[in-house]
Amino acid sequence: MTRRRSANHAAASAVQHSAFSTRHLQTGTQHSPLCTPSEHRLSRRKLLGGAAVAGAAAVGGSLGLVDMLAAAESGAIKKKHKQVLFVWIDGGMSQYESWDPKPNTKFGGPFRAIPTSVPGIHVSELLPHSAKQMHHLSLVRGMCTKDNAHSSGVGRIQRGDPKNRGVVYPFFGSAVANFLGQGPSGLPPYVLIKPGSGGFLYQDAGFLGPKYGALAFGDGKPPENLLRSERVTTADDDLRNDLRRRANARFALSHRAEPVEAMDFVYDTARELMKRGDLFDEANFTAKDRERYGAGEFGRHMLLGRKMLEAGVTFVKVTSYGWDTHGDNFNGHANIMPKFDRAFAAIVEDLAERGMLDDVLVICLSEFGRTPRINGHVGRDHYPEAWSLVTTGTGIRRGITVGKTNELGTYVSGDEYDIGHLFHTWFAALGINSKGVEYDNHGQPLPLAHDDCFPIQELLA
Amino acid sequence: MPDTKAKKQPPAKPKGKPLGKPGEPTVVAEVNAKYQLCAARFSPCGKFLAAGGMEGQVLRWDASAADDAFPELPALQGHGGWIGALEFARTGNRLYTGDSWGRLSAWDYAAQETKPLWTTADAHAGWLRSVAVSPDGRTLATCGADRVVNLWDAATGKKTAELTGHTDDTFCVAFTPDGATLASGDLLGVVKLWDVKAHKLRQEFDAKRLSIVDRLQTVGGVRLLMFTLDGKQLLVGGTKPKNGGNVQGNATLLVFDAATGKESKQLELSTGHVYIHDLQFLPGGDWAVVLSGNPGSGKFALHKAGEEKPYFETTKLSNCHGVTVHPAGKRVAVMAMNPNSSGNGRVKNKDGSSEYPGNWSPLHIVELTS
Repeated sequence: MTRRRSANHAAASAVQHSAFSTRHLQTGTQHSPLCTPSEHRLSRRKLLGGAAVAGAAAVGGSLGLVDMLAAAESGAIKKKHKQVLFVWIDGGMSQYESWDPKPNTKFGGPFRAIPTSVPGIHVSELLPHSAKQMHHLSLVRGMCTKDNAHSSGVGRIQRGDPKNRGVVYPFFGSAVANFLGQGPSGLPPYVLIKPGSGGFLYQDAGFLGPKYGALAFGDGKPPENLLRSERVTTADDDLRNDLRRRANARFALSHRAEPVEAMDFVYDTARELMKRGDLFDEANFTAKDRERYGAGEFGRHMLLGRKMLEAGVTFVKVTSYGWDTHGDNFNGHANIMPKFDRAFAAIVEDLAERGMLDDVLVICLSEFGRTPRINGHVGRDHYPEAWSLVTTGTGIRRGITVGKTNELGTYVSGDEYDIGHLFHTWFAALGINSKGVEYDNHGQPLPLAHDDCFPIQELLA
Repeated sequence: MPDTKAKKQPPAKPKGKPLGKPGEPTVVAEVNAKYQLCAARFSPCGKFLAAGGMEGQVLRWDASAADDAFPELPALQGHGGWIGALEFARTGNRLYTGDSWGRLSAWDYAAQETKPLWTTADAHAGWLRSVAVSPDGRTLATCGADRVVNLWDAATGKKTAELTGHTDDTFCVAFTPDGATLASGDLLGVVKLWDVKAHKLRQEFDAKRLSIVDRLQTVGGVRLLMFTLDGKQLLVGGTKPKNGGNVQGNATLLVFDAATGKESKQLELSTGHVYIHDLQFLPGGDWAVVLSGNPGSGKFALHKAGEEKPYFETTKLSNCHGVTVHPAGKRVAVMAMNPNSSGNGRVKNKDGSSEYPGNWSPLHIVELTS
């Protein structure tokens, strides 16, 4: 078992990543006009301030980090700079109306099943575009988890539902940001594209410390005032940053180095993002891409997600809301699913065409599925006992189904998989040996995922 | 002189389960369909009760049997998915049904034969939402998720016209009493009136209040269309949605002048019971209405025509989705749900095993006056 050594090693490692990426991107990045200030929800100052707090907390001694260097030395992390696309369907997508249809059965609902590009695998007729990408996808139809409440289930699923050891585990995005860092892009390692407002979601990081929180782009908009004011010249800006660095260096002489390194990490990350205003400019989206992804909110956000991956962001999470269909589930899915289908299929197709699926792990899931029985409001309620998710990309076998439900979809037949199994599997797919590395939470060794779970070998390439 | 000393007789115990005070509607029988249902109608002769189910079957019961036994008759076979479109012709023993897989079928509902007289598998590309039969029984109108309104020769099943123009899922169709005009309504709250003979759009009514585009979803829409018996008014039902996803809102009925398209009334029939699922005319023109939606528990109500406040209502019948008036006018069948239909649904047995029984749709036979 490899144990990480100290927090400062991780921070130093992260800073090294930023320094490299800064050099990489300084030569070729183009700036673009951004949206009007009124459209922005998060200021650059707020981002820096939030991250500064994160850095301070991370190095304050109360929280530990995985020692990336030690992990690399041990061979636990086999390859560098893998990426993740994490599509979060908030509220609970119905497995019947998506990946595990049971047409013409008691609980099957009104929709038909259609064939896919993989003979023998059928999905709901609401997923015609994704059906054509099935050879790139893997369906896990044997999900059986424990929480049927949104308030707790969202966190439990995204934190991998490990054994309770009195600590708050990181969301998968924070864990991956911690392990894989920024990569050569120098961009924030964990970004979230979501409807509504943006901000810095430090809570995602749990015991890793808010440095590994999610930078959320509300409605796909960049942080407010992302670009440097025109009144500040490049020379002045360089002078200011030089002054900051000198002050930090001087401060570091008489203090612990970790806060300074963390602050540098945060500033460098923010400065890299400042150079990439072009990512947010929808004028850069081609008409063909807009049509393929769909003109709606989710389509735009998924297209931005692809741009973020192309730019090198390590972990890109795209959230879709509106899936908690206790009432009118079938009209709801009939309306919302095509928008999901179009965008999801388009990004899978694009990642495959660009060869990016070899390095990008793709995950799409909810906090649970929906009930087999159809309630009095013609809806489906929460159901963690038998549901589906879809995954693909680096390290994952493609064009298969793993696990299955019974004829009516009420239970998993055969092996049941909890989210802990998937966390082990996804870590393995990223080259992280989750059985061989531990978190070191201030001296407290913590497994990366649930002790009793294991990687699903059938799912691994 | 009457004998004032005679012992007072206790009031006769009402038959069945009262839904209100003495003299108000009473449930006199319950037809247990065992399945969940989408729609139910009495035949014009009153001898049959038919219902479209969620498992691809059209169920039938003998409504004329003694003691309200409602014995089940052989189910009509051949459909798939949900059968939410179900209407009888006024004459000729004809029943027409449509399913969520797009199939349209015609049946002799009184026959022992359980195969259709004719059937069209792809009447619509996707969910066939509604079927209406013209008053003379010669023409059918259907609509569906493909945004198209189709007209059919009722005798042969041959398509006679395809009316296009809706830009989203079409939910319902209704003929005027003279059969000259057809109304169709869609998810966006658009109502179109078509000239049935000329196959041309005649007019468009705005019921967009019944729909909202919320983030990813468009919700609500025109869920019910009914011309009044004199054909002068068009009732447009649905909900005024407050949100997308888990839709909540007030069950709402808009009343339009059928000739001018001018809206004359907006009736909010409830707060909380989201959708008007069904409305049928009683003899004399009163309305029997059923409502249901999250988070309400559903409601069955009787209204004087055009009045917002019902003269009778009950929430004792859980989550009502359909109502059909027996031709004699004294009874209705209310299609409801079993109690406690929400939640996980798994039943744990004492021995540690578990089962998953699911829900069902009881058909409550309601005597309107006891």
